[in-house]
Amino acid sequence: MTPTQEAVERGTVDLSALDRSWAPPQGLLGWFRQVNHQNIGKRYIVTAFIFFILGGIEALLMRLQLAQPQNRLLNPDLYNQIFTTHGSTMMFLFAVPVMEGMGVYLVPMMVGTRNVAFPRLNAFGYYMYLFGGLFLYAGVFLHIGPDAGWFAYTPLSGPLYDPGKRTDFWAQMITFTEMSALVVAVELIVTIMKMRAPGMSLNRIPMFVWAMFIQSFMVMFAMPAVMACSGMLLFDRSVGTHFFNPAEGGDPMLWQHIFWFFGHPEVYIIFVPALGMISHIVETFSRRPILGYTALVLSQIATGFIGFGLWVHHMFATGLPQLGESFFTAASMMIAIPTGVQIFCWIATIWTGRPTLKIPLLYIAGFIAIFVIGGLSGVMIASVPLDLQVHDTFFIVAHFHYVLIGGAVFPLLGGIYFWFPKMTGRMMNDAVGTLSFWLTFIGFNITFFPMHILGLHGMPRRVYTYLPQTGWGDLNLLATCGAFILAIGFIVFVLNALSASQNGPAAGSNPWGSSNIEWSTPSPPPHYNFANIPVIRGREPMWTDPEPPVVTGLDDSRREVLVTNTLDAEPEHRYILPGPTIWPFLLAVTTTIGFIGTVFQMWWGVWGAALSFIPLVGWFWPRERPRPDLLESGCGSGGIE
Amino acid sequence: MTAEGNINVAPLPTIGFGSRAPLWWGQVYMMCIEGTIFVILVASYFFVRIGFTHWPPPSVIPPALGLPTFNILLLLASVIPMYLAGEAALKGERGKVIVNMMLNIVMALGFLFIRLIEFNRFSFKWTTDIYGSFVWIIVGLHTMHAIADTVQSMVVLLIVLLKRVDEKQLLGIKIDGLYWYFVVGTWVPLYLLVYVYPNLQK
Repeated sequence: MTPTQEAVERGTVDLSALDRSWAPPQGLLGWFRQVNHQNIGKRYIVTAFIFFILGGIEALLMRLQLAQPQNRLLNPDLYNQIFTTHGSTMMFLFAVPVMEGMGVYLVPMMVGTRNVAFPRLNAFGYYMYLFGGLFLYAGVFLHIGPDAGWFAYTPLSGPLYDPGKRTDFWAQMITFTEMSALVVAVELIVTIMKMRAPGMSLNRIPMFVWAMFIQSFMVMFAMPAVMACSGMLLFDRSVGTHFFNPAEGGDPMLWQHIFWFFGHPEVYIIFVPALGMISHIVETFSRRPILGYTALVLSQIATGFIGFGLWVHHMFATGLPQLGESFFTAASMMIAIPTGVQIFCWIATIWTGRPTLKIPLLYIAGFIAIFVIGGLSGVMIASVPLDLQVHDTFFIVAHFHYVLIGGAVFPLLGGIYFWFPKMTGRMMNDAVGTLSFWLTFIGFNITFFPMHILGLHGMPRRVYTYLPQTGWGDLNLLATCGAFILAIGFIVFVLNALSASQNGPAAGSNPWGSSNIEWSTPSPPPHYNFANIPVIRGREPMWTDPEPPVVTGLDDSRREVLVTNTLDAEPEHRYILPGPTIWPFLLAVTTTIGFIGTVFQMWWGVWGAALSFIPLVGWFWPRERPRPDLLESGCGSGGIE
Repeated sequence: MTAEGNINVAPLPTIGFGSRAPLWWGQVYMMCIEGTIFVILVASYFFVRIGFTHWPPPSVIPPALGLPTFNILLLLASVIPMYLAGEAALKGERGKVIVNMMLNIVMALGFLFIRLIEFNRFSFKWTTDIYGSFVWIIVGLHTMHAIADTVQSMVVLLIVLLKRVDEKQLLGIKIDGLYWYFVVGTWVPLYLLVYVYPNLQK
């Protein structure tokens, strides 16, 4: 139906047409054809939390084993598999995907468009992530779980010391999940560059969108490194190449360099989106615009760059040249500067605002406390002499749990609490929320603070037990008790979310009185996000410009969105996005067949690629009816360009 | 709802080319990702090479320069029909698109055939030593990219042959071309690394 000229000018839209165009596919088959960013984003988040629970169970098993000296709950082999799977799950199957999920769900809504730039690629990425995670856990339950640590150092993970298929399962899981992270990175960057609502110039981009933009660029240059080295490891193990084999001129140190060239940025890939969430929560509950927007954005960009110059600080104990070590010490200390700038901006925002201590802000307060402690131990171990003392001890375990749980999980839980009303249309319970926060906060510190002391006393990481004479038993028991309190805190959070999604009080479109445009649309949002794409005229549109002018003239009878230019978000052209399709799922299935096959026999790579040809052609085959008029009108005269 | 300040986008076209197209940017970033993998491999090559006084290791004869040099010239030449196909697509000249795409595919297949001979002439396997491992993975990965884009070009050509070209397919031809430039462009430094560099070391 063509809207009338008057309707176009007034901005009134035919909601039923929009509804029909963007309706998600129905039925069981429909589940596999889904391409809407809201659904895919929620799938990422839910799947990531399921893996989070699995990783948490593994953590509890380890804590039980270590609760007393010479415990016999887990044998060394099982312990190795469990700590490797715990680390791999938390990094590859929880932390990165959950942040990607938040990005996939929130970014299109926050920039004022209707879907991500490549909806089918988005669906494909999700299935790759899901299959990669299932593949790893299939290995774990078949007793061929990886056992060489989440960073799989060669030569331990090489063919000589780790026969069988364990490390191959790990390395191939990397290929799956990194592929998923990479496609999300590409589609988010392009969405942010080209699909922002008109008027959302660079200096009006919401902080979380900036964070996802920077994170996506980091993914783009860091993840290929781990794909390359896990691929090289697979070749070493299955077809006899010598990349990490010193006997034939290879070098095990090469693995550490490439892995940490990915591994250190990885930490920031998890952390930077959390920074974005913090800015929104701090702004909303301080009731004032964020202080130092430009400083915050520039600090995050600086973090993104410096994050690539730190990898050697994971390798201080490997006997590198001293000049190199000094350089990386300096870089590691330098990263404290942009982080410090951000912390001060947030504190200043809270200080000069009218803060109300709602649960999300409580989580941010917890973040600041924990992360500052983790940052301080980080500055300590950036120094080579101290690092050599505590290398491979529980001090390091304490440090990175303080920065990862403190820096990413606390803001994430705050962020979920904050955006939960938008996603579900319902509010989580505040009393239960307070309880879960304190359980988590106290449990976390009881678990991990003693590990600093254990590490200074010399307790090594990755040992399945220790002798009673060491005197480490008491602190370990304390840590185990803390771990259970922490786990109860997470369970209460999850139960709160589950119950609120069914019976929570209705939220309304903007329950927190927040400033950004995702709060202008109903909760939960319609499949098309906005009835009218708003025109952005400020950095806090909901506060300064609650009834903005809108974009008119998009064809609502199909999935049409507006493409704008990168700097100033001026309209360039309309763009038709694809609708529901089964091909991304089928392509993920054929790719999975190829990937799993290559673990056992390299030729499966060829069969997998050949098989993938079919869904790829299906994917790219034009569905719309050709429009002969174009050759005469548009393209014939070169009028399109 | 205020009518003032509303932006009517109905007069705007439904597609943009070049850096206006989201798809173009998507392809550029995919190329960044794949380029990064090549950069990591090249960096690793030199990381390992530092540990050797003689490179390639004396037991290995580096590949001869003649055939690969002819092949890279063929590859560089194949850019011309690809470019012409893209230009013809913009002008809506279906016949020229078909002829140039075909020419490009024939040249690409010729390149791949000679690549097969190059592989056969290597005097070493990937199992021989670290030098062999690197040469095989670098040339192998590049060959995979070349095969993938040749197949993609064939599909694009098939679509052009079977269907009337509409605007999305025009964009598809340009994007396919962009990827082919990437395949050709990455081979220049890799060719220097794999074929010229070890021969200079002697």
